[in-house]
Amino acid sequence: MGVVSATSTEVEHRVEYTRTLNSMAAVLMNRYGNVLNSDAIDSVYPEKVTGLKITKTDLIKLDLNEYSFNVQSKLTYIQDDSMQAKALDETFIFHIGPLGQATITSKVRNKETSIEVMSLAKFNHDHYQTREFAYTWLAYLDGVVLDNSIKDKPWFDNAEYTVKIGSKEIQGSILSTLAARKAYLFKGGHLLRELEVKVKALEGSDDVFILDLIIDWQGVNAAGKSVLAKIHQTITYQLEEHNQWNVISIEEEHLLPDIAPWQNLLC
Amino acid sequence: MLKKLVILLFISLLSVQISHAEGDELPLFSGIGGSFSAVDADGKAVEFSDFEGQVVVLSFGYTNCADICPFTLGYLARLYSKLTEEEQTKVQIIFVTIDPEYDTPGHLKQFIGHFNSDFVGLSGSKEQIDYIVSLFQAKYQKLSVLNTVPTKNIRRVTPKLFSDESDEEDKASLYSHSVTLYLIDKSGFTRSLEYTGTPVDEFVSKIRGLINE
Repeated sequence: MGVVSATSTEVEHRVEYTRTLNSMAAVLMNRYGNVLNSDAIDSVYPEKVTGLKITKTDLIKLDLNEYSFNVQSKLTYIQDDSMQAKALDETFIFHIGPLGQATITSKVRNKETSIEVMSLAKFNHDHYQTREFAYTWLAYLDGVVLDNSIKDKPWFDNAEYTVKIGSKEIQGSILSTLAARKAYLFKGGHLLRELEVKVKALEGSDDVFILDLIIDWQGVNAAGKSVLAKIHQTITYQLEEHNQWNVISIEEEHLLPDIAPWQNLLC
Repeated sequence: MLKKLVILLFISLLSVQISHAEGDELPLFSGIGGSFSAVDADGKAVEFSDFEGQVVVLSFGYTNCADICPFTLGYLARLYSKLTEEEQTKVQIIFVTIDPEYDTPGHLKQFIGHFNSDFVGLSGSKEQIDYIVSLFQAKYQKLSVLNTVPTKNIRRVTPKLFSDESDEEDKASLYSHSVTLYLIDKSGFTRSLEYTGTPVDEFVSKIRGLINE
């Protein structure tokens, strides 16, 4: 256990790692979300996919700005009015552009086997849409400009972003809050640790949701000091027509980083 | 509670702490700690910023604590004694009570003084204490209904003294609370989380690193 400080090289590596990971993950989540839409995006997938669960991933850096992302998955689909299931092993080669955006340059189907049918109902389109949003948002926070940019969303200028860091509180638009937040988290990377979606009961509405994110951040503050943060973000959004998200607010608090097994012990 | 103490000691044997060489930079823990107001052992209002310029080791507890608090303060006294006299002037050990109702400033001073009179005990209103606890994301919870445990039955370091010899039996509540020791730099930023299982020399090394920053 314990913690170590981050050197400038470590910070650069962290930034590169999280930018590319979040950017590639956003692209993959979008892809798998589309596989689960009624219109299959690619003839290599069955037409009526009902569930898709990623079981294993492996990321390898091939060259400067080139990555191999291996994904093993299981999917269920309907064919000839009966439920079928497959296990897939796919490799995606990504190129990372100058603004951090990831693009798939090639896809390889390594293996495809029929397997016993199982329930994958919760690994549906919403599952991947939520994750696509989360990774796109984190990539945005890390300064990546994606094709599906957060900044171009209609809610971007209206959503309220509140950050609580100890006794300091920042409140305002996404842009103004991020500008003030930079004093504390200047350069580093956001790594998604946990994600949970809840229906916001208090609103008395079934189309308002809360996306709870736990994120690790490591980097330096504006004074160049190493900083560790465990960030809890509560993102409230309304699901509008055609599954479009309208983000209403983002609340962020910084929690005790998980560094030791005894830190939550009460005596 | 003794069982928890044994578990804590067991974890200390299992935990592999990455040794910290003096001079290594400790990272800032974002959002842990910050500005607060409290009442010192002389009953005077203090601000946390009053300790700016000193390295602070801050812990939470209460004077009726039967096990971990005396153990922690004994550990901190040992830690403090490893520092040179000059280093001691640059370090402040702070003990924040989580039972401000029972732990009056005077009683807290007497309790702390049993371990080292240089240590600072902080009390305040319940709102002030709860705010400090929330700032450091510590926790505490009451184990008994308010003031129902006769203090004579608690294994106590320093009995509370009463000027008016009341016939009423002295009673208090029991609590469980966080055991973390917060190492805070001269600018008020939390830089490390420790506990009584941290080897004293390793902790001293981290303190020296912050003194010399």
